[in-house]
Amino acid sequence: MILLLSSVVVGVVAGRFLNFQVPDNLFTILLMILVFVVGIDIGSEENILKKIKVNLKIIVLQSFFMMVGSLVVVSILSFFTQLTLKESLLAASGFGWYSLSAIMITDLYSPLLGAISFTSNVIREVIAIVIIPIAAKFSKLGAVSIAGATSMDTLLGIISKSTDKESTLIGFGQGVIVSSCVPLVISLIYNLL
Amino acid sequence: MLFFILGAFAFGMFLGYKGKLKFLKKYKPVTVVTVLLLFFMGYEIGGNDELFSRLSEIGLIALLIAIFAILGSFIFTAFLEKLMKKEKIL
Repeated sequence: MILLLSSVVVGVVAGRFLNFQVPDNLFTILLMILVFVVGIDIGSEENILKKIKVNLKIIVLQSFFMMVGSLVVVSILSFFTQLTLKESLLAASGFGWYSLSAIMITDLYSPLLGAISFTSNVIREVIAIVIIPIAAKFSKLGAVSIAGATSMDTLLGIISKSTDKESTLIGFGQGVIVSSCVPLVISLIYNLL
Repeated sequence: MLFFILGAFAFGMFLGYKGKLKFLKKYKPVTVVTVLLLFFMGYEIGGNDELFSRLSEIGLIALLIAIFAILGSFIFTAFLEKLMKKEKIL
């Protein structure tokens, strides 16, 4: 956990002082390597095909509860901050996926809300690094849900270290489903509220 | 992009299922790649001057959103876990 947090801090400091352009596809390549090695881990588990079948229903339910939970509780913020209901829901609807949600919200709504969305999603990821190992002691699915859309990439390693193989599989599935839902949820909230 | 990542996951699961590449485990590849990903995430934030200078202005409200979102997700899914254990689905 300290190792992971310091990677972020060292990265931020390096980003301030170095002027090296990160290649665009570096993230994609690293993500592919990560899911590949996690895939080997999960695949070598006995009876894996049966487990995916059994877990599919759980993965869908888990993703749904994760998203609804975030949105419902964040809506409370509109009562005591300057954010309207629409703004608070939009800012939360990246579920941790900061790049896409921030770009979409800047484009649709305002650059300020885009920046708020970006930052809150980054903070969500940083808090997640710290509390997933602790939360996993109380509820494994709860711990998986904290990662939101990033449970399939940046936080997959942390989930696999702090929970079991079954929860890691649910986490990956949650990441896939929630990531696919982010653009949809943002447009729905933007158009309906 | 999502397609390639899903493909890499499926390929890894296939090789693992066939019992290949088990020797990789002792090099802790998951930890190594996670550290690299988080480092470059931080690097992107640190390198973005506009975002970095506005951090304090928007920080508090963003922090509140993050905390509430995490609480909501945790409470709802922990409840789901309890429910599924009761129904013996999990």
